[in-house]
Amino acid sequence: MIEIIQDALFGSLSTLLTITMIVVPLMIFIETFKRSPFWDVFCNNVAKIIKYLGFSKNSAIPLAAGVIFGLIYGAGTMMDEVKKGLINTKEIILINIFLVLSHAMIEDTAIFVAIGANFVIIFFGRIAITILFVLLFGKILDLFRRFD
Amino acid sequence: MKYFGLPGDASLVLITGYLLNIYSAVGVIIGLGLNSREITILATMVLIAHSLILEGAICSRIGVNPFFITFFRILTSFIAGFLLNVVLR
Repeated sequence: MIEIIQDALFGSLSTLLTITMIVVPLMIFIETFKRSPFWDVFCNNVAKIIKYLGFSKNSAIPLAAGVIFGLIYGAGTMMDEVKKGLINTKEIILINIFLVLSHAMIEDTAIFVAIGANFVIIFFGRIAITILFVLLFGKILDLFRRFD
Repeated sequence: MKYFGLPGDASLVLITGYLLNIYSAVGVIIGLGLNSREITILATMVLIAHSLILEGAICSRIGVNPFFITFFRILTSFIAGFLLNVVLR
């Protein structure tokens, strides 16, 4: 009985230690990155890339924030832009589909790599399926607008 | 679960991941003692669809139908799991 408790305690503690050693430095890096001048440069580069997916320049900040920091942060910055009327309905739906499939790409991926998943497959597989569905829904929404 | 190449126990990981968060799913994966291929498939499925209740509420704040988004995420995670089962050998 004591052996089982010992085993469970040390097993879970070592897993916890592995995850802590990966997640805490990442969190510190992300918090620093958010407040550094590199953030604006990064957003400008993102704006150039997402042009090919059919997004406008205003969607760059919500998308970059969501993909790096998580869905809550991305949605928060997006609400500001929606209130100002900078993003139209089609783009709101497309950004939401993009963010809901791939958000917090650094932190969440690191947790699963820590327990033994293949990094290349879970990272690029997720991005590939996201881009596929965003392109698909972009075409579908265009089709609906044509019949209005 | 056989369409995803996973044992029946692994459905526990999907249910905890869908309803709670990914940390609880990680705990269940470690408890089940799966191999690397099964962990990769499960990780992709859970990463695509997790914390569905909380994140559905966030989506409804932005103005997108939360039921559509939830259904879409679960469907996408099934598609991803099925594709990875075919691709990974």
